[in-house]
Amino acid sequence: MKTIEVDGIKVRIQIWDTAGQERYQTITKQYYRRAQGIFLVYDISSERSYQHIMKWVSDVDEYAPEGVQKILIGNKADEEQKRQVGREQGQQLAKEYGMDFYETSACTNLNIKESFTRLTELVLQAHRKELDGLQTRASNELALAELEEDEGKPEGPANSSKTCWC
Amino acid sequence: MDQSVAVQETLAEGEYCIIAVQGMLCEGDSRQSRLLGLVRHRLEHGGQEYALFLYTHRRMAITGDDVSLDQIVPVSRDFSLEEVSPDGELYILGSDVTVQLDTSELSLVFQLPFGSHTRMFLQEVARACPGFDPATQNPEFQWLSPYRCTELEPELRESQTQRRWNSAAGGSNFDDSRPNGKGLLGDQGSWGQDKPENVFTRQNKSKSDFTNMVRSSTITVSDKAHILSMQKFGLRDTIVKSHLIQKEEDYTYIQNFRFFVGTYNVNGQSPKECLQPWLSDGIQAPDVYCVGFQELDLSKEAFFFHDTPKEEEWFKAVTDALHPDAKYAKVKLIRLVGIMLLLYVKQEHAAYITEVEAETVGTGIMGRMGNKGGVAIRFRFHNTSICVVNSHLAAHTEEYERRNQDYRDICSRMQFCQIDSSLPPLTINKHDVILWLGDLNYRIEELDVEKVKKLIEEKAFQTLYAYDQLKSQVAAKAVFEGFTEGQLTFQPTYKYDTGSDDWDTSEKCRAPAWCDRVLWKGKNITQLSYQSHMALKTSDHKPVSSVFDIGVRVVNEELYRKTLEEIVRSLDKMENANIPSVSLSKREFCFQNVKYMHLQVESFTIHNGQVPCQFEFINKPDEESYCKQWLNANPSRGFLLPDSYIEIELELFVNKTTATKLNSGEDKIEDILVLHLERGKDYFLSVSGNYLPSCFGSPIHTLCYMREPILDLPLETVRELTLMPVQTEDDGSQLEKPMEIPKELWMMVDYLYRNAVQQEDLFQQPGLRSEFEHIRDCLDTGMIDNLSANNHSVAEALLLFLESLPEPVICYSTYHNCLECSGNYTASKQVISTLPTFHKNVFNYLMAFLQELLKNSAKNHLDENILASIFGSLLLRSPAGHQKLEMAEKKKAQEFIHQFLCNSP
Repeated sequence: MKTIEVDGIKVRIQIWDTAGQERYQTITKQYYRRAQGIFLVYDISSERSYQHIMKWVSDVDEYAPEGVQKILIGNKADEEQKRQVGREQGQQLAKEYGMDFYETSACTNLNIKESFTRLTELVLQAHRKELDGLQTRASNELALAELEEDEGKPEGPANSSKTCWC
Repeated sequence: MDQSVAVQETLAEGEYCIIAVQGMLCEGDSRQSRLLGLVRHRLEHGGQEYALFLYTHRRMAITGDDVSLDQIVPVSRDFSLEEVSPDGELYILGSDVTVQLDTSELSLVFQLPFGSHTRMFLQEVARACPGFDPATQNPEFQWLSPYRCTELEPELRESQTQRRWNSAAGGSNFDDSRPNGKGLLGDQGSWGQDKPENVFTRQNKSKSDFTNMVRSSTITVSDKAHILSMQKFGLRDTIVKSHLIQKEEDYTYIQNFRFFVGTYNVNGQSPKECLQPWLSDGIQAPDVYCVGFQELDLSKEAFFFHDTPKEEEWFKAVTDALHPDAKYAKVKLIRLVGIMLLLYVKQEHAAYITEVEAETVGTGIMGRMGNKGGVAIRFRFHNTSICVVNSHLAAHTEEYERRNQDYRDICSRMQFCQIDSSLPPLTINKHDVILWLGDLNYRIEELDVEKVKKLIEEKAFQTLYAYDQLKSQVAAKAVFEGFTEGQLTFQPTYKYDTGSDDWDTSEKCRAPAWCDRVLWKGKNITQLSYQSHMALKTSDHKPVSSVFDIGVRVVNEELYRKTLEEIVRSLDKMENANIPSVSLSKREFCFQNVKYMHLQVESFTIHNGQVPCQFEFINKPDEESYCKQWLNANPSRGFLLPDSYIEIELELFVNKTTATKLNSGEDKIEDILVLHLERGKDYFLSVSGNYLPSCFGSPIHTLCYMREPILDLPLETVRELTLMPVQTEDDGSQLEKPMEIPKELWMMVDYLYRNAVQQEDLFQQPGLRSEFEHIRDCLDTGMIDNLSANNHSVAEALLLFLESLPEPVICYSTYHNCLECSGNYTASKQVISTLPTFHKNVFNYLMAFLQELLKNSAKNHLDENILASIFGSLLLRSPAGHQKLEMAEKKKAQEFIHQFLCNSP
């Protein structure tokens, strides 16, 4: 759970970190249904994780509710020397799918807050009509699922990041 | 009286009236009483729907007979019930709460009585409103249809609705009342801040210029500080607020603001002179004006009807005389008969004035009427709470006790609503700063009139002050405890001949007195001046003024934001720390070389963190159990105390139900278990491994085609042969010539034939589990020569083999035919001849063997009945599955086998 403020509205977001391992995909897909916003995360030091984004996108399109908001994240931006995926590649891919793009680093706290705020904004915009209603509700909980593509580590950097900046 | 009881009586079973409130339905000028009941209906499949039932009623409704249903408003997604500022009416605090009910179909305006019950009603309705979670279904309100017929005729309602809509839409722009769309239900702060437009509009036709003037002073008491105090998060917000209060010093600093406090008893006169000498001459423009009047209007009309033109006259006079160097916004005007208090702030401060509330307390005739008493305005200026009281206490020299009592009554009865209705009302004393002004009416004692006047002439105010009743009463702690008053350096302000500076020359010839006073209580307050204003001669009193520098806690926005963020973050952290979390000693489990009926166990430990947690293996979406049939977690659910752990065993056991599909490759030793923590996350455990195919669980025909031991065959071949249909005819083309019966069957029967035909109680004693595994391995590897086991173990293995056949020896399809002809041997033989070849072979082979056993019945004690009962249920299995067989069916199956045992083939 995390509380952030967007446009003067306090929003409580619930963050799920889904396992990235392929063998769990049949199950994790089922978790998309309850998400309103999704981070698609690859590791800039892993070409393979970048390649996998296409698969994630198609899974999301198939299983996530309509109107779900997506943001593409290239994580581990601090590991410049190990970089395999260029910034432009990320931008290009994001553009193709009509997503916003951030390169983030959980270690240096780069763009973490920004990307969460941005995704929340997008979700709020998508639910603009309900916004007035949202304000009367006792709590506004948005569920953001996070897809972690991280070379077979189900508890990827997004998890460690939580300790960094939460 | 709880009127929901009456509503409840009109409802069908299963519906419940949560709360009812009586209100006025407003249409134009008409007011009709309605009983509003919030009704809940529980849906069969879970969930609930709500509707607002509106009833006409004949009195305070006690039973269902007192009410009749007027209309139903379903609480649908487009339903809203919001508090609105009443437009075109004088706003009186404590007056009715005006609410507007909107749906896509109608719009109604109600006035609900002020108070906690209405507040509760509105909260319950807000809670009943369906959320916007797309996952929840739209309410359908089918349960309402039985009620519909009792409602008003639709046509009639339509026209009413239309009218209501028009009146509401034409009347005012409700959006005005909620800047930024934030004045929503539950935002109770906004109704304390009346807008200046509303205050005097009752007479606004004749006084349009006046109204315009007030308007131009644009009071926009912004809801900036409000956003923070809005009840968006319920309890959480309350916690945040209390933390903010605790840390106030971290993000605020003290800044001085100049307050002007004035009091003037005007003796029922209208303003005749400019008030500037009192309000603005010789001072810098103050930041805040608190101006109080007494005896504004002494007429009976004012007393009885609470209505006086003097209010506007004096308000205008004050507004005109405010300091010319600054622009002021009126925050609030409150009046009780002749006691009026005005609060203005410099326009730039308006944004920092919040939580404005005003109240009155009458202490006059009967201790309640408004000829005496007090009025007060409380507000928050930046982060400091301030209460300004204007009081007119009991008159007459000897009545000081009465005055003390009036003071105490005002203190105890003056109660301000809080934004959070769950908190008790605020009293005067609960404020950081209290400014008390007024005609307190304390006189000078023990001196005769002449002596008093002489002392005044000598300007011996100190000497005179010693005889002041207020001084002595305060010293005796009888009144104004904790308050301070500045030194009196001006002559008494009462009583003069109107229009002069001459002392009262009337018959009564009252002694001069310091009736009009200003006192304060609180920290960081410095009085800069305290004086009377002789220049004003309208009244028999002189006005008094006092200027203060008051240190107000001002918020450093930057620090405030930081503190708030810190608090929110720490709350999030606390909340996250309260999400149960466990660590698992192992998450991947590999079961190697799993064999038929061989239990393998892998265990792992769940170590709990600091939060008690309940764990459970949950079904994956669209699956009926949490794991495959061959797996079991023990225990599969449980509860863990903080820091405790539990060992979970994963038991893998392949039996006849699961073996065939593992042989055929339709199933694999592969599964994912989802370990779910209540209120916490899900952990995935993966199970993998390999299964060694076995003759157990393999079909008869498959085994016939396996000329080699099953474990010597490539897995692919085992799969293919297992999936081969039963009725495959041997075309001799691609497959090796099949055997007539499964060699494994032959091995077991042969072994028994050679070793056990004379074995006592054969098939009736259990074998040894360890020997079964040995027998299984011998059969599957073809090492028959190694087979050495107890006869009973082999006999049991034979029975297990027959039991594990996915298609029984007598095929499922033939089962019923067999039962039908169980009394007819010829017909029975006929049925057997229709079986697939391999099945027929096996049947005949087994019968021959059993007959062989019967020949030795003297030794082995077996007879036809025993064997028929053992083999009947193995060879003939009901296609209905494992349901308990009826005795009759069982009997027929035994009879069927019995025939073959008695008759030679």
